[in-house]
Amino acid sequence: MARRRSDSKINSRPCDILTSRSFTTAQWRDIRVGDILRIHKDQIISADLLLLCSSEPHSLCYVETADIDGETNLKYRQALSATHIELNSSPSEEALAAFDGVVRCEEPNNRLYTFRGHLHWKDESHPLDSDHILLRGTVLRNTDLAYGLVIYTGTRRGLQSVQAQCSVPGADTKILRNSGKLKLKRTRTEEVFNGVVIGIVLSVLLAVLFLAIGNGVFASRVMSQTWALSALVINGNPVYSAFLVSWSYIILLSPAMPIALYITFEVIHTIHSLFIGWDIEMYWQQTDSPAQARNTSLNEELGQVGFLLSDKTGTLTQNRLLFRQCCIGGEIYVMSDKLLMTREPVVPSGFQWNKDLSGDLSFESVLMRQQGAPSMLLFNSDTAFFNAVKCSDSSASTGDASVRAEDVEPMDLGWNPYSCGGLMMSAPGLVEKLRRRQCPLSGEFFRALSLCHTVMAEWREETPVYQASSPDEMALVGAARELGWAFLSRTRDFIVVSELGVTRQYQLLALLDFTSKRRRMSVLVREPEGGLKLYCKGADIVILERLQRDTPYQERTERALELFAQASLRTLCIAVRSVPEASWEQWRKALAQSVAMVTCDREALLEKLYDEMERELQFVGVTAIEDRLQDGVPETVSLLQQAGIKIWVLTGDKKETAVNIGYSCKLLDPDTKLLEWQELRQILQCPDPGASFFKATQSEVWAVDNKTTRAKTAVVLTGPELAEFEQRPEWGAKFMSLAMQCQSVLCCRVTPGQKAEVVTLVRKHTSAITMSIGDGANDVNMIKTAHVGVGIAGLEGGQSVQNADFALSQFRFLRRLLLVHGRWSYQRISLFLRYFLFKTCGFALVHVWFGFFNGFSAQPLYETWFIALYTVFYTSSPILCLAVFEQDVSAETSLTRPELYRSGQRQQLSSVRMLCMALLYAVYSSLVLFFIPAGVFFDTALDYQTMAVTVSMAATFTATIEIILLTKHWTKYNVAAACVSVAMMFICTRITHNARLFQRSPVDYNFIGVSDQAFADPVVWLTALLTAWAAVLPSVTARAAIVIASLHDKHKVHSVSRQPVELRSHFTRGSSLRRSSYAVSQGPGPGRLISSGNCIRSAAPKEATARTKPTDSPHKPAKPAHEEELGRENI
Amino acid sequence: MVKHEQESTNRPDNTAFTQQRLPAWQPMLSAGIVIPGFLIIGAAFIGIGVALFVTSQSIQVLEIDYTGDDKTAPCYKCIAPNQKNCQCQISFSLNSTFKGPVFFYYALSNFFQNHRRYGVSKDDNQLFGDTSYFTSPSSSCSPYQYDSSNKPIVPCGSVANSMFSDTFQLYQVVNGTNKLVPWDGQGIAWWTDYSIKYRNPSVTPLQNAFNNTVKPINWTKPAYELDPTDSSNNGFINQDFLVWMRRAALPNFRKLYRRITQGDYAQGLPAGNYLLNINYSYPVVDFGGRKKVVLSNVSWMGGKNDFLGIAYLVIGSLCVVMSVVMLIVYAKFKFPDEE
Repeated sequence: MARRRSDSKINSRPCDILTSRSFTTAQWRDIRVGDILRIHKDQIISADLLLLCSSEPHSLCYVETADIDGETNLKYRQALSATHIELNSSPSEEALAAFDGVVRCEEPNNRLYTFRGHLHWKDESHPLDSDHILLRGTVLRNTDLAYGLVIYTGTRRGLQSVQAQCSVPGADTKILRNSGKLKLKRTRTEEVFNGVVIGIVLSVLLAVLFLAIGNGVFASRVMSQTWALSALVINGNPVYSAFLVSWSYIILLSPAMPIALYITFEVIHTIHSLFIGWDIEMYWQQTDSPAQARNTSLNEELGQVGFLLSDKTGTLTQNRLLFRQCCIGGEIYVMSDKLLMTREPVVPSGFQWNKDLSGDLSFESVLMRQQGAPSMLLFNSDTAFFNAVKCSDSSASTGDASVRAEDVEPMDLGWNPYSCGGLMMSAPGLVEKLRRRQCPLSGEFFRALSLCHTVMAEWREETPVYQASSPDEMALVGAARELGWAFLSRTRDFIVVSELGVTRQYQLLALLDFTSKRRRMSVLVREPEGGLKLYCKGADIVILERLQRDTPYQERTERALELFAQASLRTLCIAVRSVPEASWEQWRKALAQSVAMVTCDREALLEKLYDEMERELQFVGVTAIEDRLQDGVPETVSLLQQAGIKIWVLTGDKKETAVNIGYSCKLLDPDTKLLEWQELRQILQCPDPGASFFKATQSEVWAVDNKTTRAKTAVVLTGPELAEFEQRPEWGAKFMSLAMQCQSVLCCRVTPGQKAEVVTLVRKHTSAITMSIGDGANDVNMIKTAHVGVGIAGLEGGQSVQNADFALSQFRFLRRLLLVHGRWSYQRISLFLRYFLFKTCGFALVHVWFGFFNGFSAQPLYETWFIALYTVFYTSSPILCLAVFEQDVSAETSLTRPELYRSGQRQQLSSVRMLCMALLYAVYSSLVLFFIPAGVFFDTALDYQTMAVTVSMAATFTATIEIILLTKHWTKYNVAAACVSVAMMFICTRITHNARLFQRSPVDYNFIGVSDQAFADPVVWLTALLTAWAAVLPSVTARAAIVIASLHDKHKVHSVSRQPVELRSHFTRGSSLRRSSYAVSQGPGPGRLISSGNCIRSAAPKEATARTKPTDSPHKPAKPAHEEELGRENI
Repeated sequence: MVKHEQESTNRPDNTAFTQQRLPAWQPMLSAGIVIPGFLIIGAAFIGIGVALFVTSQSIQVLEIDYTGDDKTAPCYKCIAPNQKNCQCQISFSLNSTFKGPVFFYYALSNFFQNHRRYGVSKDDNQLFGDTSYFTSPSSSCSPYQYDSSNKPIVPCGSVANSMFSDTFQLYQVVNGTNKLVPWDGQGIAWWTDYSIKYRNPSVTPLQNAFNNTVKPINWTKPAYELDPTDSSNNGFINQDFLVWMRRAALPNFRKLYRRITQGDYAQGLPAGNYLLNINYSYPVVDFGGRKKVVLSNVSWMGGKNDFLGIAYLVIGSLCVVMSVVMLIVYAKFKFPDEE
């Protein structure tokens, strides 16, 4: 229902469709192939469109594709020049209405990054590719209006093209093609249980068959001989009698076929789902959204997850890049934003926390004061503290990194008219320096940041709003603005910057664009004073090797780079060079020459030229950018890994970014070896992948410890590589067996369809429960494919939530969802199923044994009323309480001892074996329930009705004792339920044995007076007690044996946990891993668009961005494990 | 965050229930509880078992099989079908006094009174004294609903029809003469049975209620003439009838016939020779059943029942044995160094 509602909501969204000569507002559902749509700024594009023209120059338009591939930066799309020129010149409606081109394109498919087709218009054929296409689900940004021709829509309506024809009947949009089918999800436990129930039904039917045969034999052999019974054989035909009695037995044994259980099962599921929604620790204050269990029947599966397949953008990361720190002239300055303290951390002894009046707690400053040794910082969550400890520790030992952080007050940036907030600086010293212009170096640093970039500025309400293709650049330029170097605007030749309020105009002479090979970019500018300056930023090793010989602060810089890397920050080095006029002239001519060349080695030549210019650099500083993780992601990731959950990241983003995030969220350890495609391919082609995998992981020089190496390997794959799996299905199993040994698998640049394929791969080759988590439309398919799908209720879309089984607001809530709710649910439901089987089967199977003593005549051993009330009133409430309230360990313990989660992954509690054990136990107790009373009643004057009451009492006692044994968490409700159930048994028995009711209806209440006799008879009581105790004896013994046997283990556990926790970091000097990178969109480098001035679409091939490989810097294995331990204590 | 409070409409309630923080008692089982627990329960069971067993042993029981399928048996002459008023005598002697009050039972074996179709073959409304069911008995009585001439059978049904029909007289042989042991046929049925569950129709004389009905096929006397000596013990509240109608649980059962509580024998049956006269009419041989009479005295636990006592002893000792095993295992874990 909810789905239908949300569907119709989406289908009713407005859009502008061109009808005859004007645009009218219609709903999404009305869109047909061939329509021309007008898209406004910030509107979600409703169908796959061919961009005809836009309000921007050259019909450029910008789209945000976060919902599709998880990248946050803007992409450029440009209309064909033919359509741009024709349609933009005249008033648009009329021109568009007159548009009569015919599009021939490929069939709808799920390849998001390709499009092939042709536009035939005015006797000309224009080839189309994906740059002309606006995909459904993307958002138009920075462009006032865009006009597009609908190529694919969401539905399979017939073609009604007015002006254009698409040559395909079914016209699904690409994103729809990627979203997969909706399947009904059922839990593993339910499947196992269904199997067991089918087994029970079959065995019951078999038993009924034997009982019926027994009845037939009895009827023909015994009854016909017995004068008292012979007339009772129906129609004198034993076969007919047997047939009739089989129906009676089916009814009599029906409690063993637990149909009522399914109803109770649903009730319990619903209550568990409510608990998830009620959990205040999974409530996100900022968006006022609690966790949500949209599918109420998957709860116990949360306790069994073996694979977590996570999206990156919006799930692990916040989609925010923050300028965190910088090192200028060897001195480290810390930026931090307001620390959002949700709870006060537990602080190890030796530290004190100060809380200032505003309630904002600034970790780093307090710590720094405490330590006396200045330090750097960090994150605003639990890790922050430990990073602080770690860093202060290391910096204290070296003493060469220092921070000016005297004050925790939020910095006053009121002097800066361009400040928009968003940057909280705890380094006023730096600002002081900047404002007083004491330090030319820091001025240079921020000037470089404000000049050397490809960001566009758009003026809105008197402030510049930046648009960048790279979120990193955006963060850097933004930070520079906050600190007084505001980039105001750019034209083709000039960059206008406000330097501490003074507007200066720099002439842009050359823009040496970024490529993945160069890993740096530079701008050559002429200062207003006339000097020539080259500002360069790039990856650390690239810059450091281009510096002047005797660079100062070399050691300190190295140190800072290491510190930044430890804090999982992405670094960029900034350098500057004053270029002599003469060399500029010379270089300019050479450049002009090479640009004019049309040969294929033009690129090489250009690069050589660029290289010549970027020399003899003077080092300025280092920036450190944090790809902001969601709160608590590293802790959650490490906790879940300790719980035995394999976490894979599937992202549409670039490999570099994904790996970087992998490191920063502790998914990968610094010494994790990355196994890439080439290597993996070799291993997979090998006949014995296991051995070669071992060899591959062993061959590394830095592999210190054989044992850990094996575990510390991660596979990195990209989408195209993954596509090879489709052609080689035999690789799947091999790959999975390798992946099981790996710490993680990162899949980058994968389409939504491929994400789902990865999930399918895991599902196919392992028996583990898979869980997918994601926030965007691109995750919908994998959310639907996995056993359990979790949607992050992010800011936009909500597509994933619509399709998810559970909706969370924060990734970190996952640990509570899995380790607490999931584990409890699994425990409760396993207990519930086992107990329910036990109590119903034990209760019903008695009739089978009784059959041997009553001629298989389907004589019930209980009063009819007891049979009716047993499952409902006498035994249901305690198990319901157990299934709702049971907690074997508290929520806190569940989170601090993630290893407890593993039993669920192995299905230890709900396996077929366990359920069969429960059944065997039920059979045993049914034997006891019948044969002990039978022994007592055999050859005595006690009558049938007394025996019925005795066995009823024994059965109720047995069920109650068993639930008492099972319940480990006694709330007042549990106690009440257990007491009330037994009391109900006695009260209801008395009532149904009542004389008044008998007088009303003698047939229905013919047990009158039995309880008077039975409850007064010591033999009845003693028999019932003995029977009940004997029936539960195996269970009691097993429990006692577990208590005795676990004694040994407990000693061990306690002694281990008493170990003192070491606060010192394991990081040693020079051990860190630098990650210097520059994340640019996979789209063409925008530098050319800028430098060419007219925004002609670049012909440059798609480039991946660069980042220094982990192997670039020397490193030794470091152990972050203990930090994680500390992190947990802090929870 | 006070300022947010108004916006937080979706904020879950922070109650102990919703947060699953209800105060709870979590009993931690330890070896220190488990082992003594087992021991105590085992000891208690053994104690009960001993008490039951001793009590059961103190009960005197005398069983006399009079089926007569053996040619040498006194009642062999009566097992031939279609005999009327066959009597047989069985003599026995008591070596010691049989303490009173002595209960006299008859016992049947291999008789499936608990067969479902047999058990439902009665009309509770009819037996409740509702005369409308006299003329049209419930179909559950079928095939003992109407007789061959289509007259309603009262009491209808298989249970009533198969009522035990042997009667007994017990004589003490004193100096060669048979002295009748007087016994009491009242108070052998449940109070609820003869005062609530079974009722005669409020018609006097009782016989009139049975007009236009026939007695059950196997009966020799109609229901209103079951006890010629006591007019209040007739009809549906005849105690022998009530005892029979209270079905046995298992195919081997006893039913109370008389209690010896009066006269010289109130204190018990003295040692000596006795003669049991049986009016043999109830056939059991053709279905392999046996008939017995049982003389027994009773205790607080009713009749003799060795099974319950032994079962208690077995389960009790099992618990004790397990506690010992656990103790040994526990000691091995706890003090591994001493091994």
